[in-house]
Amino acid sequence: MKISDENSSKPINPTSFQGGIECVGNRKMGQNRRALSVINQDLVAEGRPYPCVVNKRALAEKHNVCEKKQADPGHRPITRRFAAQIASTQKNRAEGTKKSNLGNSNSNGFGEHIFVDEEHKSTTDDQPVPMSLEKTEPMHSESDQMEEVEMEDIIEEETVLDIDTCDANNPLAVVDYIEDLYAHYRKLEGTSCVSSDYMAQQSDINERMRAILIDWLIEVHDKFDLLHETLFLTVNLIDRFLAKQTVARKKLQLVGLVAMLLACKYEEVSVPVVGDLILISDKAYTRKEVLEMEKLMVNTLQFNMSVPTAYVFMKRFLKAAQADRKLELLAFFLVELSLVEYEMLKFPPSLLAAAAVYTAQCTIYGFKQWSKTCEWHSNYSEDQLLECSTLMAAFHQKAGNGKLTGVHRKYCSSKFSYTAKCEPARFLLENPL
Amino acid sequence: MWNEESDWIGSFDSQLARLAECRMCSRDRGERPDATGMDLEVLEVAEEGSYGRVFRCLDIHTGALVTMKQITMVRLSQGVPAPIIREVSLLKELHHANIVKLLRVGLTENRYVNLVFEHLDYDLHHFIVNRGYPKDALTVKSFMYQILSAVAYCHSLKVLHRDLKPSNVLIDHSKRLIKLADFRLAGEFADDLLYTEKLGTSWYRAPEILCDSRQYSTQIDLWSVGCIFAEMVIGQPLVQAINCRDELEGIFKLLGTPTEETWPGITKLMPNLHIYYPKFDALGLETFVTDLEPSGLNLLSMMLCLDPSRRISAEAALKHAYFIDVNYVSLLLL
Repeated sequence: MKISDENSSKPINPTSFQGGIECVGNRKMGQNRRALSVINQDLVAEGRPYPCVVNKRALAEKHNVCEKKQADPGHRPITRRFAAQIASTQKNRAEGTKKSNLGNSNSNGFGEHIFVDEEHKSTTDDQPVPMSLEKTEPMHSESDQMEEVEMEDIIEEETVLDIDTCDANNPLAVVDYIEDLYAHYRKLEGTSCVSSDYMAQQSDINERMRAILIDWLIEVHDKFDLLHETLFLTVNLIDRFLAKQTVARKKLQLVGLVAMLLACKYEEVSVPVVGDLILISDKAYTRKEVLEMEKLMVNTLQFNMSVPTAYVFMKRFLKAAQADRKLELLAFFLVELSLVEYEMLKFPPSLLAAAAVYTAQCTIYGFKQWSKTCEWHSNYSEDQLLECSTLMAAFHQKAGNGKLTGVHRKYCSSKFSYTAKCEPARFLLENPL
Repeated sequence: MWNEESDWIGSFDSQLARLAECRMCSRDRGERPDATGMDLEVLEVAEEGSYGRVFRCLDIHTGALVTMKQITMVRLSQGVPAPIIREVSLLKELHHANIVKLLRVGLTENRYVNLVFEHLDYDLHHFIVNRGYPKDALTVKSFMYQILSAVAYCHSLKVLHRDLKPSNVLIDHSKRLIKLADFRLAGEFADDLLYTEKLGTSWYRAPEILCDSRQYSTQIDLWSVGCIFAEMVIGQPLVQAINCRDELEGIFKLLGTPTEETWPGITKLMPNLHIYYPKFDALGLETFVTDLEPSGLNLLSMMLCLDPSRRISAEAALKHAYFIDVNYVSLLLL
């Protein structure tokens, strides 16, 4: 079966949104919606662009993105040797910190080091690198030991900056509770995961259809400019619902749409209106069908929306990795590729998140990289990540091939810094488990 | 979303007005509660609020008394309202001995969300007004420890209560067990969200909210707990005013009008502070809250701190010296 060709046509005017938020800066879509012809044979694609949806947080995020891009010219690529030095020093510091932490009942000293706003961290990360590079280059004749000492000094300055940043963000509220929060998430994720073989109980749909649906929803999510957490919750709701309810193939897209509606209602400040969702399905369903499916899903899921998705772990582990924007985007690229693949349901969200960060570091640095800080906060050793990581590297390698390229196309855009174009970490594939 | 919620609340009020008129005409023809599929026998209407109705019910299977809150959904063209999705979902996440338990939840065929909670006989407001407040210092300490345990738990999950007051503190009298209730205004807090709603009794509202600050966090609940603490000791609310401005003035009379030194940032938050409010010197909590041991008074002063950034957290409060003998207290009471 063919996926319909995209073509340009008259744009649809944006409709008013729930909550009366005005549409700021109307955008015209370069790409058109792709219909799920494989799932719904009655669907006829006409290639209409999507209405514009804007929410406050996304605009703020865009602003941050612009600021970070301006900082990029000052950033120099990290050489292999320099990265190795950073890694070595980080490990030493992390080990020291971990030892001191083990002796304490609270983790204030350790936690403060981690609790850095992404915005502040970007600034912190950008500034020291050029300085250190300038110092390093003219001192080729000096010994490595001297360079390591200086590196430690530089990184210690970052630590001091982190602490100040933490104070500015009301550390009492964060430090007192953040460890409890993640202990709770780890405990909770066992109950909110679904069986990795639930599809066997479905008679009319299969793994391939699920992949097509989620690939399309990732595109919808991007067009509506929704939050990261909304996407992860959407996929969680779909899987949990399909694990409990038999669904006809003609209704599978409806399940996806309603899952996204529910996720938006839970996560977004501004919720897309039902009419918009009907439009992006090319009017395959009526409003009545949408509302009835919503009621069925809410009752079936018993209003359980507060689940720890891979997103909450991603945020924490990226902080532990002191990720810059490039690493962050690549990690999200990898974990979103995993959302599409049914077989990845066998891994809990925290493992998916840790493996995504690990794989992203391997991809960027060109060698295996998993610091003691990352191991501490994720509760996963490098060995535990290898199976999942190998699969992610494989997904990265084939992301641009085949029919399901929604994630690849999303991350090939300037908005996502052309993240998908970087080479996968082939060495992770050379020795498959 | 907030506009929608305002419409929603207004719509509830008008519906209740029509319902009241109907009942005046014919008392027995009020709309019957729709408990379809909930396996409940409705015993009586316990309360009518701005968000819906509350019924006392019997669980058909267990024979236990339960409380059912029935929320009427409006604007059904957009399906289940987002605030309901959020609030119910968060309520289901809360599992703690000192938080009232949400047993189950269901959507009826037409327009109701039914929330079924465990039932407790009393609330702290009833306890204070009708039983002359817990004069026993050990009971006060035990109640405070339980309240703070529940609040610390909520805050660790990034959930605020935002409407803590004695009537939302339920009591299992035989066990002297406290359970927090009515998280209908709870919401997950995040640094970039601006909470603009100001609902609930003003007597327990934190000064940063009374000042119209649009950014607040966990500290607002600690102020409310401090007010409850004082009320348990003295038997009446600490500052009883009819509006936000007078409530704030009462607080300033008690604790002193804030300055940039005592509350950094106050001049930016309230540029006209000294035009609207006289400059009061602090009277001191000890002049109002007598009969409280020194360590309790110290803890109270850390909760009723004007500067939110210096107010004690629930987690830290549980470790305060006031509770050093709390295990003994718990054993004695249970």
